[in-house]
Amino acid sequence: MLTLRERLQALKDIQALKPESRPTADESPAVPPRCAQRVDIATVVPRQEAGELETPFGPCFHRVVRYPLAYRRGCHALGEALALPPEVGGRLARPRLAGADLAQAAFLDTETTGLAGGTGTFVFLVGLGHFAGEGEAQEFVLHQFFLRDYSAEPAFLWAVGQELAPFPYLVTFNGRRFDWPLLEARFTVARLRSSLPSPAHLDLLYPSWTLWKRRLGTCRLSHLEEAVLGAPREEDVPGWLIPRLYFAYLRSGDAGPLAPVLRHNLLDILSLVSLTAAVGSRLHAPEGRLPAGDLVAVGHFYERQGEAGVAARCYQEASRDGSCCREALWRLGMLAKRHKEYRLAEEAWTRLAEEFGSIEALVELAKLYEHRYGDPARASEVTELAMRVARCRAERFCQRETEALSALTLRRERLARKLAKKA
Amino acid sequence: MNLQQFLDRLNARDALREALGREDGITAWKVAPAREAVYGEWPAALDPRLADVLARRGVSRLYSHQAEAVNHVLEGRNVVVVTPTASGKTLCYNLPVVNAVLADPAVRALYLFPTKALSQDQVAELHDLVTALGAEIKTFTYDGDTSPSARQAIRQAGHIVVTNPDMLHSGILPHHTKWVKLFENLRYVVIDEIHQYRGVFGSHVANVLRRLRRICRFYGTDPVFICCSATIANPTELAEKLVGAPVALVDRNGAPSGERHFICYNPPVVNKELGIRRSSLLEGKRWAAELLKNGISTIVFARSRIAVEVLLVYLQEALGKDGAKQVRGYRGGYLPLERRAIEQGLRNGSVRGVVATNALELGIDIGSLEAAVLVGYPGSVSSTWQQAGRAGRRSGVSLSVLVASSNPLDQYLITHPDYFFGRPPEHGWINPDNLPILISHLKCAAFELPFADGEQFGVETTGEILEFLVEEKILHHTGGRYYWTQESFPAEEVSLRSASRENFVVVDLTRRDQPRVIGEVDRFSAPMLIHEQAIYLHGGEQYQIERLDYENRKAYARRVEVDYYTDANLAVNLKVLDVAREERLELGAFRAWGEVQVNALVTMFKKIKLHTHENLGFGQVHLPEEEMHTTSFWLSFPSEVEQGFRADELQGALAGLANVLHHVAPLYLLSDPHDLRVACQVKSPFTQRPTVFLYDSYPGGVGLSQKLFENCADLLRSARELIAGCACGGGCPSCVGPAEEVGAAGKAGALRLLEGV
Repeated sequence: MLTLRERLQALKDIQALKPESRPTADESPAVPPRCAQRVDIATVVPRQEAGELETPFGPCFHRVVRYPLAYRRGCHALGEALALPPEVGGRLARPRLAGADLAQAAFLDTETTGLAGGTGTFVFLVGLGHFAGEGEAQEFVLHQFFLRDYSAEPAFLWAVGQELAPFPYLVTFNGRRFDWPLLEARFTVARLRSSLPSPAHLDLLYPSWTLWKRRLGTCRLSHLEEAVLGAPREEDVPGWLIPRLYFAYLRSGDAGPLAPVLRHNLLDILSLVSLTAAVGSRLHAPEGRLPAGDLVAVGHFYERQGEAGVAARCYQEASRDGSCCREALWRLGMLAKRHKEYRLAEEAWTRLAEEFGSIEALVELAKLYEHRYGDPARASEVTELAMRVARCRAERFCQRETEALSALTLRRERLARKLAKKA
Repeated sequence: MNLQQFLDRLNARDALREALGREDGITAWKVAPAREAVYGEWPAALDPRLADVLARRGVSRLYSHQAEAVNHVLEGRNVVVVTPTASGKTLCYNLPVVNAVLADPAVRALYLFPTKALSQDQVAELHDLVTALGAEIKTFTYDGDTSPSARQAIRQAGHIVVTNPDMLHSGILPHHTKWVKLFENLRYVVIDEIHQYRGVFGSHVANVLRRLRRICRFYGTDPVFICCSATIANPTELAEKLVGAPVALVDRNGAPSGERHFICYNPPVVNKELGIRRSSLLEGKRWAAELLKNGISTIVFARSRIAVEVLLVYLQEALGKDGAKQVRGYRGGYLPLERRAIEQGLRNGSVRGVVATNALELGIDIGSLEAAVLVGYPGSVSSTWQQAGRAGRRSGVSLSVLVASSNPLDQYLITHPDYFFGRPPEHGWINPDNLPILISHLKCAAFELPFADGEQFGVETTGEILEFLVEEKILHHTGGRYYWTQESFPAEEVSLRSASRENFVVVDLTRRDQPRVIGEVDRFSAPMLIHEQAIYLHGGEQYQIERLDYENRKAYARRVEVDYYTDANLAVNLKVLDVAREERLELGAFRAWGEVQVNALVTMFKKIKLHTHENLGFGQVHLPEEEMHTTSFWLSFPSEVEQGFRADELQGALAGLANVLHHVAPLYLLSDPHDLRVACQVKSPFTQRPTVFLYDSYPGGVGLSQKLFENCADLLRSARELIAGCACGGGCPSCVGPAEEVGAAGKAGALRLLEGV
């Protein structure tokens, strides 16, 4: 009989074994060649930052980096996040909290062995920052915990759990869907589930999405750093390489190539603080000081939080600026309609119709006159007007306007019948 | 005319036919007498509320098999319940499960059904029981259709989670930390229809269950497995291999049944020379129409979806305007609501006839009908009884008619009815230790939880395989454990239902704006079935393959209507790597099985006209050679036989014999014909003699070859009987294959080879 090894080899030869055809970490060009020497993680960071944390499960590598409040990541100093009122912090949570004091928040980001999720994806680096000290001595303290080896996972997780414990709030970017469930899975597998606290989660992805997705077309942290914070990354390790660098480290014992990964994680946390300031400063008292584009987005944010008043004021203010006027008016109209503020809606749609010849706004006006004001004659009038606009445009063979026109025709016929009946 | 009268008249006519000495028509007529119910004691440990609820639903006592099964489960034993259709097997598992939840609301149970349709039906039934109890027992279906918002609730609060093996494999086990409540409290795992878990699929499922038990151990539970099976020869063995633990057998059916008639019917020959018989579809229609016209409720089983549709149209025509509404189609792809409406109609009498595919042969509550017409042999003794069981009430007469097609297996069975009635149903074979399958799941298991040194996963060589995976950088060994070190999610790369991970998908481009995937073809079959210009048949529709993107494993097809099909010419090069066993038969022939390497290359294809089988032309195929390591059974003949043949005649004789063996092999294996392939060599480089190979079509083999080796004598006897008994002249599709394929002397040659052994 063939030996097991021969059979395994045969399977490998016909490619049944390899899960991926992509190069493995050691083969990919960006990974430095394997080093025979073992280099511990403690030696790749400045000596004064490196330390060991003793846990009931053994030691865990622990690094501490301190930053003054004035330290800037892009256009915001770290201290600006601290200065945000708790009311604004509370708005970052879902569902919204009455208040969240960012002085009591842990800023968290993880590096993992993949994006697949499930119980076979490990967290190997946790970055965790928070504000500390009083008055002049106030500073931002950033901890990094590193998983030296899979077998040291209980110590690593225990250390992370201990560090997180005092903080009632957690700030992440996409942590709700990614980092936190992964940590929960890790703690469960290590039978340490009860050591993982449950802070209120402030995930910046959601407010960032509302504020910037429309404008930037994407909402990845690296894009926000560049476009919002004005802090592009240079010489950063690409995300896809990180798991491979870690796997290579596990096999070689050489932590040298992981130095850029630690730096990457530090920058993520610092950006998180800066982004908190960026989001918070826009949400805090938005009227009278934000550019129109931001105002529409902030209005949208408040609208989603159910604060129609603030939202309407933001839209109104934004509508005074030409660049966002159309979007602001449309949102204002729909918001007002939903809240049965028909006069306000009428005003917004009238402006849209007058300034932009908007067929949609005319249709909305027609509905308003017909159903809310009980004035089919006026409804018919704006319908006629909308049809004239649509006809002009349809001549240029615009599909959408042709469709609008046929819908309008139906509306007019119905109105005509209604009027005839009335007469 | 009721069924009894119908049978009396049929009997009189058949006697007349026999007196006239005609061979076709009814080849066998068996009557199974009525049986009284056998009841068992109500298990004392069951909650009295259950007795009350069942009594209100007309169940005052349990049948003996139900009581026996419930007692086993209550005493903590795994059990497999083997009883025919409609014997009340669902109570065998619902009773202990609901009883346990009533006693302790923390208890959880997992139900596995092979298909979604079945699970929906079961949830409905369970729901009725729970509602009648008025208990807070939550039953949820967790499958691909479950909305993300519902998933959270199911994980936390579902007492009974109903799912399928595929979802368990890729949706639940790799995320076990989200299912802590389920795994920490898992008391029962119900696996219905285990006879469906055979061959490659079953071997995968056995490994999924190994993973399930491993995760349960992690959470400190050791659930009891309750399995149900249709009648197969080895239910205990199959259940034990699947579950990986001892299983108690319950197979004494206590449910009553009325008198059952089973008729084998062979359509008359219309062309004796070519061996062509009247179409089984038309003959099946004739039987069904006659039954239905007499007001006898009837289910007709056909082998394909297209046959279902055709039969439905024929029957509706035959029954006229009023009758047409009473006949409905019933096949895969119907929505649960449509099916419920048909079931309702059957119960209230507005539907008298149903035409179904055998894909839906069992487990679905369509009530009991008086007659079943099986158009074509369903492929196994086991399925035949399953389908026949659809006709049969607890009292009163029932009839099943098996109408044979011209397929060799059908012809063999219909002309050897005693053989059919005498033999036990097939074995369900699985090989959970098939190396490629085992490795796939070992990877999934390592992803779910790291392996500890010395831990075993089904096989003693677990450690050696783990070490190999470490060398391949898939796992990392540290601190006495093997950890997953890949970015990927291994369960996504393993499909339980298909032979190879590297399947090709067939994309229908008929509607430019809506391309859709219509099918999957495994890698080894792809060059045969989906080369460019191939006619690919799916759901009774013809598609032409326009482009094969070999790199990306995609074939693009467009719907066509043509009067031909394509047949690719496969050049198979089979090399014996290793002989596991070899044995000399009489007259110098050898039987053997072992490991082989198969290289398959498709070079050209033929276009063959439908019905007439004329050759309409050729085309070239340019595709790389496929290589596979698998296991094979082979039969080699003494070199002397060569002397009796011209060179090309021997080739034809071997090919003819291979065709027959391929067709009769399912008699001994609960397998589909495409699980096996054949090759023949006039002078095998390995045996140096004329040799016929039957090999497992899945890499590594799933154990079919070994079983063929063991059943060699029976296999050869059936083959001989089939060829000798076929009325054709020089070979026909019902035996060795048409003469155009095996040569004029193919039939005689194949028989001569068999006489040699």
